[in-house]
Amino acid sequence: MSGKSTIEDISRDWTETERVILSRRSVRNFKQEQVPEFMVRRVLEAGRFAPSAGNCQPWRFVVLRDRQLIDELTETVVRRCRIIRAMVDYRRPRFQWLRPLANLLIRLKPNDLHPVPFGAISLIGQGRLGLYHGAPTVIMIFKDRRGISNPDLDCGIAGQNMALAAHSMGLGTCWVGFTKLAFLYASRWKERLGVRYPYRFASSLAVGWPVGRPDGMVPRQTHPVDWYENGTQITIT
Amino acid sequence: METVEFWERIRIPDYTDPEQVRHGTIGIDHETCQGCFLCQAVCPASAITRGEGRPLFVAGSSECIFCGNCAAICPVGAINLIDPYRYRGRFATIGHCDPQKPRR
Repeated sequence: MSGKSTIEDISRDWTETERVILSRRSVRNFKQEQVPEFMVRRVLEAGRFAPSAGNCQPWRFVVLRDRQLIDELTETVVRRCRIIRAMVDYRRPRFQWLRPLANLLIRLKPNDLHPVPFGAISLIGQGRLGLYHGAPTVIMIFKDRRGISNPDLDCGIAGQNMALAAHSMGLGTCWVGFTKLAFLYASRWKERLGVRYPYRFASSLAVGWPVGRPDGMVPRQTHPVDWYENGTQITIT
Repeated sequence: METVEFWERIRIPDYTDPEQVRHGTIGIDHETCQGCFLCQAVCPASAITRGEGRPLFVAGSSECIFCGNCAAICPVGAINLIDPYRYRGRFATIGHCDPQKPRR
């Protein structure tokens, strides 16, 4: 923040940084035009300067800017989604009998098969939902699993730094966790990208120029916050 | 703080039952809408489809996650975010109150 803003200025209006945070949307419709290389480097710098447990910096970034490579990766993930959909999507007519198996898998992998990703896997498998949405650049974040405390969290912090830096330049980003399906069950992509111990896929970000003007402040659910002060407790929302 | 009771916690909801897995609801004002279909392009859940010259949102048969991308990208402000998603059982939605725009 510039040293000039007074507390009164701040109370009157959002800061530049808050605007970037509050207007950031996950962009799912990118122009084909490539992002300038210097911008991607700057985005990576924002990731490099993220806080991490004990300053352990447990991340390794991989930038994909080859259309063909991104397409092939997409194809792998779509294929995996198609297989998972065939196994678990009991919502399809005449597939009710899959429900016991689906419920067992949901129980085993509740975070991956929550109703939302369950629906998304099905849509991706059917080709009705894109993965990188035409983004010309994909930044993959791999975690050093020997990291202090919780390396996934540190990778998330670094990633969000990058998403916000990108947004501040007018770029759009979208977190794409489904990329992990390319690294599970088969080693082809690990070999292709040279992913070895101690690195493991954490998440990925699609980066590109958005189509239209997707940024804006929209309503979002509020959440209760417990507030302790002066020996009393209140809950605000 | 909110919690999810034991019997609720261990129940995997029926993904086909709108009582247990209720997706979000948005409203498209077809008077204002100019038919650019940007909302359809940015929807992460394919919840908006192509009608005759206008995007369609069919409540109950879509998997809207209430992200607000459609409302944000609409150049004429024709989209209202009406009702957030609500899940039951293992995935019970708790600690979510009414949506509001950023507050200062």
